[in-house]
Amino acid sequence: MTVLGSRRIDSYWVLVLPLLLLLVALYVYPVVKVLVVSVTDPTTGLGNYELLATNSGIQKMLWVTLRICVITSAITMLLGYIVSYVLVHVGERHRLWMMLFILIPFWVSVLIRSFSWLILLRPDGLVNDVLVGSGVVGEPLDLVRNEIGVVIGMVHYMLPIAVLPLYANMRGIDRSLVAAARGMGAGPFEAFWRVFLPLSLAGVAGAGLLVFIFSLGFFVTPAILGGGKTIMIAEYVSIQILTIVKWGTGAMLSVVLLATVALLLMAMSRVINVREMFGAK
Amino acid sequence: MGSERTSWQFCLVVGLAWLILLFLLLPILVTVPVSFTPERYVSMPEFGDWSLRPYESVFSGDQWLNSMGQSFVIACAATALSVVIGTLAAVGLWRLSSRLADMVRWLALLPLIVPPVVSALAFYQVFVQIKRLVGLRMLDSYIGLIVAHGILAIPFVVITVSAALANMDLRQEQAARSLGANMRQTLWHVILPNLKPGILAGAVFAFILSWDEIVVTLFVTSRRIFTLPRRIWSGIREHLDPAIAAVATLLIAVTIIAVVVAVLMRRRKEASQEG
Amino acid sequence: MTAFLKDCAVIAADNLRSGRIDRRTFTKICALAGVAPAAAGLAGRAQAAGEIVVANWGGDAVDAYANGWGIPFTEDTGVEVIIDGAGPLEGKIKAMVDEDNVIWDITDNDMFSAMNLGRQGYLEKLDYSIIDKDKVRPGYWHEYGICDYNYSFVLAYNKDAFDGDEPTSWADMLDVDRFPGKRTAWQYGMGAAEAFAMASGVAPENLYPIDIPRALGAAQSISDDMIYWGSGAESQQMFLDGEVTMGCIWHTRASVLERDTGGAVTWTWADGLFCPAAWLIPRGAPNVDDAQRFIASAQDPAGQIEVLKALGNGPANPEGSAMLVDDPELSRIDPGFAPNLAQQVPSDQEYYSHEFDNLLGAWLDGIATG
Repeated sequence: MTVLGSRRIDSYWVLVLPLLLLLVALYVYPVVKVLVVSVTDPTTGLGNYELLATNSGIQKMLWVTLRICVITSAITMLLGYIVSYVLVHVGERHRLWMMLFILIPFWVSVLIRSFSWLILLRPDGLVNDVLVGSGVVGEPLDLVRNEIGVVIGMVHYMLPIAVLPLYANMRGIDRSLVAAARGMGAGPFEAFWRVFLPLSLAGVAGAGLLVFIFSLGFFVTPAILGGGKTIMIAEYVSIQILTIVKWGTGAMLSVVLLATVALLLMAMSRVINVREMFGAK
Repeated sequence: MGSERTSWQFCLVVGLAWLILLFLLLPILVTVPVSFTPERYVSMPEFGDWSLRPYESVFSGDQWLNSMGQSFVIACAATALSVVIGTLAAVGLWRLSSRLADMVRWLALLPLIVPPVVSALAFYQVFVQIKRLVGLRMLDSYIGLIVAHGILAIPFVVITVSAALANMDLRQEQAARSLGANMRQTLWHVILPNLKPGILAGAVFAFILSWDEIVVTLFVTSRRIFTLPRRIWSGIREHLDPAIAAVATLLIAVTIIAVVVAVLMRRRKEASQEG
Repeated sequence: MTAFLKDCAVIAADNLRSGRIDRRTFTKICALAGVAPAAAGLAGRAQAAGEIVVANWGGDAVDAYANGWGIPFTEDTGVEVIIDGAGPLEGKIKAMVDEDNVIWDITDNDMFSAMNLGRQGYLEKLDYSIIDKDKVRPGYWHEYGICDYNYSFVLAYNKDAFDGDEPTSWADMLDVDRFPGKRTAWQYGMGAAEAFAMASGVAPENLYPIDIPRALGAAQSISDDMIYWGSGAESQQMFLDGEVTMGCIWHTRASVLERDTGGAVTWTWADGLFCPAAWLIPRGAPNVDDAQRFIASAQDPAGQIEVLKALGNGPANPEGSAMLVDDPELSRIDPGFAPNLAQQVPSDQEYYSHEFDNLLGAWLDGIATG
């Protein structure tokens, strides 16, 4: 690399510096201080971490969290992919309308959104009225105050969060490549499957990761739509820290969360070039 | 492209997409009627029994409007902060491949992964420390909440901008550099214009995150700052105030009007250009 | 000499305000000068002398406390009372005291929180030379907290859903045939554990320590019909929306439901759980002296009855409950009114002060699906 080249690369650090300074001073440092409490409260040592092996309540909560977040993320990504794909391929006016539909729900606070879903999904709500009225089912389904309701509510919240970065990524895909494949005789589905989809995978991975990590932090929606029976990690940690003041346990669970995501990123980096996901070339 | 657009497979996919969008809109079908309920609690009004009571309570006194104003200011500022810092960092990381850069990428995700209440506690403690060290009051102040929300939004901006960068042609940047453009020029004229959708997406997330944020806000503010989410959550012990449905409906209406105006203005510009 | 010393303290207060000295030094100076920090004019929280902040749970309670307790106190003493509805969760109190950044002079919590936090050194001791032990029911005072009002967990039910048949005890919660529909109880276990323990046959006298597995067993026997509320609003909404027909909820919500449904939803005091809320003073609060005086002033039955009217909170002062004898409406909703109280079971706050986290953890685990 020429001298000019290496200086060029170094100068990019200047762009990163503000983020680094802000984050380290005002976030990383105090968060680490809180996480350290996991080994100091109530006594020094790994007692809090032992709970992972001994406390069945914590284990159940972690399992429920994982299950719900994986299912929610998968569904969200599938639906989000369809919407993003269409967004990228339709005309400008059409796209504007779609964007409107995607962005409007953002204005509805998560609390009222959850209560709205409650009203919709109740045994006497709109959804069940339609299902029973049209004869699809004989009796109203239990769609809320359980995991199903939680998944529906979470998918709804996260769909726009999946669509926007996916769309931003898909926009950059060179569509002439797809046209070329069609020109060479591939059918529309084959052209999609073999050309477009692989090119979009980096975006899918990035959006999927975002959605999954975001879903781990949910607690309003599960609290309201879960009937009190689906407690997830964010609410659990909140209870530890705010209600029963067991900061050690709360900090320990946060460390576990961080470690899990780190492992996830590492695992993903075997399959997909994570740096590329972030755009590094 | 034409054959792609009109193939029946594509039409099917478009239909599916609209079904999904309809799903997105379902709660709105509930929120809007609820905003016209005559009761003191969230409920669907009976036909013909609609009332403007929730709207009255939003506009009477300045509580709701003040909260909305505060939330708006804070959200705008937090968005600006996170977009600027996040975009610059995303572009920088785009061209860096060292181990250290990997660590920074990780760090940029941290505010997203850490449970909200831990972030809240962390901000609280560091703000108290800042007050002690330099006398700057960040608790219960605009600047404190703007900084906190800005930091929380950074992961979103970094991710969406990076997603856009992932498919950007590197050669454009290299060409600009080889033609003698310096960093600032390359950034402004070549890279950033291509990132508009990514930056916009990040900005939208940042704004909504700040607009809806409650956990950190509860910890870091007390009397002077009373954002919209705090007003919504206050009194949740007793009843869910239909006023929040009215607020949501108003905001939706404003958004729709803004978009319609933008579309009309664009049409007028197009028409005048043709003429 | 005293004027000079007081001046030293005032200068120290100034230095504290501008950050030249820290709070510990300030307090030392005041001690040396023989002057109370509050009297020196400022305790360093940008709070004027002659002002106290009372933290409660927001909503209607902000105005209710202001009208019932705040304004009378200000009229008597000139000290301004500010009600902060931020919700004084124990964790927040701990964070504030740890960082020596207490912004609340008084908080409204449960009595067991007073015992628990007090034991851990997070609270100021109450001054019983100005607060009157005899203005609360026997035993409802403590070194670190005193009862400010009472509330109960009661059996609420929707009369219309049962064709005139009315449940009379917690055991009826388990009878899904006779009383169809879903039930609700608090997700955090308090009230729910006692209700289900009694439903499974435990006598009220033997309620504590709670046999948690037994209570959970009863709750899980109808798990398909149980949904749990997390906030008062939810518990209310569930009845209003017809999602539940019975439940263990706060009496304040039950009385609002009775009003809002024109009597279709009502409750019984039988085997209700009678709980004391309490005033606490966090350690290092800016204005401890005026806080103590406020607590004493809030013991006046007149103010407590105002709060009862606004919120439904039962007067802590038994005199206040006695005064309701001629008011059928108010006496109906006061958990401390003698005939109501006689039917209820007192909640064991000492038990909760040690066991709340265990109960909470066990209950959350026990009711979680999967």
